[in-house]
Amino acid sequence: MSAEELIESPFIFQHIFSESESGLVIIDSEFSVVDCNPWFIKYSGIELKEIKGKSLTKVFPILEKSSIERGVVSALKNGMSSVVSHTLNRKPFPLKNIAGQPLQQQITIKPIILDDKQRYCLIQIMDISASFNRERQLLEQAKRTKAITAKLADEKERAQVTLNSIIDAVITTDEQGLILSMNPVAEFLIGVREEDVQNKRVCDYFKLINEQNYNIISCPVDECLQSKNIIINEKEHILVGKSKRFSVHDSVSPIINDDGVMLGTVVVFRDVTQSRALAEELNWQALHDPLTGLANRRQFELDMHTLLNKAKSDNLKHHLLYLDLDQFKVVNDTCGHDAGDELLKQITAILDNKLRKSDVLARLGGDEFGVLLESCDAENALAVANNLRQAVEGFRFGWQARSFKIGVSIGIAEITGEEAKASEVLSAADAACYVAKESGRNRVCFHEINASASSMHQKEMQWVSRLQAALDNDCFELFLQRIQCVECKDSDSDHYEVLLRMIDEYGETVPPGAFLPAAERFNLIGSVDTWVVEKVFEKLEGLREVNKYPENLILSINLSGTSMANIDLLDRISCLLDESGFPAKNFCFEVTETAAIANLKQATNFLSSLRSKGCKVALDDFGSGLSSFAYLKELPVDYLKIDGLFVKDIAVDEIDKAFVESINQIGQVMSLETIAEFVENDEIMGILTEIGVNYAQGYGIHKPCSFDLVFPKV
Amino acid sequence: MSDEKKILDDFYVDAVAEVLNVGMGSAAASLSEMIDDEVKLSVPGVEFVTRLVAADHISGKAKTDVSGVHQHFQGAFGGDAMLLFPEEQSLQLVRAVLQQDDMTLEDLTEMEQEAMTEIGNVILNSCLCSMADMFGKEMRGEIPEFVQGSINQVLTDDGNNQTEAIVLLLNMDFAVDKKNIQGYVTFLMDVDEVIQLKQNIQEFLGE
Repeated sequence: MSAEELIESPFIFQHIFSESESGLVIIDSEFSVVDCNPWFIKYSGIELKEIKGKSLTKVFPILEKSSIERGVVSALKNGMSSVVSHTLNRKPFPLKNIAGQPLQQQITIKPIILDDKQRYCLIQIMDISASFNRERQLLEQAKRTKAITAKLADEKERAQVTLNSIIDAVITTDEQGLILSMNPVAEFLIGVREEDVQNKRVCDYFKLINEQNYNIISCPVDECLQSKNIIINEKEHILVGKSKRFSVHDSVSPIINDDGVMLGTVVVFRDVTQSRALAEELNWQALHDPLTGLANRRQFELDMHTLLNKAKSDNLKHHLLYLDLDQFKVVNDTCGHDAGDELLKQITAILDNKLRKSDVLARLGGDEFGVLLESCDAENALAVANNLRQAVEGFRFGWQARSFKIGVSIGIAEITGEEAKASEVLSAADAACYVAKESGRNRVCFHEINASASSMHQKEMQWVSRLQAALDNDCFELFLQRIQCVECKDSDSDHYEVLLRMIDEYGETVPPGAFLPAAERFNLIGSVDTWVVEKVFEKLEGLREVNKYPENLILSINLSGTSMANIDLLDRISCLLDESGFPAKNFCFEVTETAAIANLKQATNFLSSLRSKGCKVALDDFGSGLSSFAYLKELPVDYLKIDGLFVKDIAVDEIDKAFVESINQIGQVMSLETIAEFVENDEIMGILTEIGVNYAQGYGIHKPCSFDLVFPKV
Repeated sequence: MSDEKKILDDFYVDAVAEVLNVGMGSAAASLSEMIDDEVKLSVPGVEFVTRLVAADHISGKAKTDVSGVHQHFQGAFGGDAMLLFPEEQSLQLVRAVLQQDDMTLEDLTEMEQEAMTEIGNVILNSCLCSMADMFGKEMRGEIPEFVQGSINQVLTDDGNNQTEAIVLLLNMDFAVDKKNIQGYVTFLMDVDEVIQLKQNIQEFLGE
């Protein structure tokens, strides 16, 4: 059969009708089904005979008033074609696939008009389930993609805002180190704009140098790209920006994807110019004296430590000088701290001027200085020390029309490398300095292992335990020495100075000169003072019990400089006075001129308190301080005790006599009573009477003897 | 243009407008039933214009793309009927009918295009049927198709590629789901078909 014959054949259309892969239903003008193809039978699940000749809406009631029905009517009545869309049509044919799932349908309805009298309509149903599902999937996919895209855009925006907001500078590069992005802080620090440097080598802009030596530092981005490691640096880097330099902390991190491929780097850096400057300032302050700008004790010990280690390895000799100014306290106390500060500054300049650049000069304490002389033998060290001493000696410190002569005591110790610790050398030099001071100040003293003064200094250490034991076991004894009224030799006043003796473990009496310096130096003097005060009251109580309390008694009790700051002692004295009811005028408290001056303010407070209670106050060893008249106006005292050193030679030394005269005169003018110490014979007594000194005390008048002997109970 | 105006003066145009309004009434009823929501359709203006003028009207000043439904018809007179919207308006229509407010132009899938085609189909069929009824003549409408593109593409890709084609242009207002959507129904005819139309109208008016 030829193609033309095939087309002409009436069977071909029957075949097409049967084989069509869409549903075909033919409806006549009576709305009855004329025929439907096997596809439709298959998916509708209804036998052909059940459909044929029947009304469409009778077979499928669901189609009543549906778009399909309307389309069929429109085709049959008006000859119009219709499309019944899947989306809008809620009542399609009830067709199901083998799995029982409803078919998604697209339906077209076309009129077939053979002639005016014979009208039919063809309903064509296409299964669009596949494309419907595909489209639905695509739609969901698209929704997901859209959501992800939106999220990514949000993330990017957030990251961008974050980068723009943080105080760190951030640069990103690609895997070749070419700049991709730069945040505003990075733009500012480097001094470029992002758009001008994109795709340029980051190392041409992120330039670093070393803070100490200004050497160029190799670009950490290159290092990171090669090593794939995070490169962090938190010190010594300076970023060389286009117009300015900044101290920075910087880090470069590699960006590596899940497959281990290097995508680029992130450079993060921060301007730490201010904090680094602050840290340096703090560091400097921690190791330096703010007043003089010299190294402080800590720095000095560090330097010493270094030198000590050096001494161990080399054979060179190094020396340490320990300097103590002699008149600093006087300046500080009489002219105020401003003057003291100024003096220290000027002394610093003088000392510095006499030293080599390599020598270390440090301020170790109030008026103490240390000098490290590296590679300097003993002879040279001594020369340097003397140089310094002379320079200070020749200097006059002027302050408000007053001039002070300053001295310095210097101790020298050798750094041999055998010392275990820096502090060992320092205490050796300190001991030598102590010897220099004890030997009369303003001199230089070498530390020698067997130096007598120095070894005495060390021996004092042993006194600590002995003193402590003596205090615990009451191994002290009170002695009294009478103070005689010069004019009224026959008066019956009982005026005595209370003296202290220690009884050692062999029952021997130890004079105060042996143990008091140790007590002072090792902070036991406060306890000793308290012991004495309490003992005096105890003794007097004993006398009162047997009705032997002396009527016109004045007991002069010595207090140390340290006690001037001891509020507890002051309270104790008040308490004893109140409890005992003894007249306060029976008690006089003595403090040495030097001790009072050393703690002028505290001494003034302490002594004022005692006087306000009615006690007397005496200034001991007056005259030894030389510059001391100025203090007198400040100190609340009743008696001036003229230093015995001036008194004992008064008969033979005109100067001493003149001295005693002037002191006495000042005392009289100030309405103070004067007491001369060390009155050893009648000749001295005669001169004192002549001068007009009020009281005298000394071996010539009364040798100290035990309290109990002076005031026996029985 | 002026010739055609002579052929179809205001008297005829008014008659056509009246008939088409009846058609719109039945289209609105069908659409309301389809989408289960009230749809109102009205034809505020009918005019015969050239294709170019129609193009200007439809695409507006912004010359945006248009989309819509095209359906060929023949019978009492023949031509191409089209329901066209500026794209934004067509989107509004789909959004209103499908009640999916977040839909964008990119989201218009085949399914939505098909739905749009059905809506256009209902409206165009109603218009054609009302005219067939008026003239008491047989009309035959083909299967509609979705069209999209520039107005010039749409108005010329219709087989009747004649620049001198006459367009019976209807402004049409949709009111769906509290939205007002502007669309156009066009009947694109060549001169011969316009003469046919005029004769039909004359017959109808008993002239």
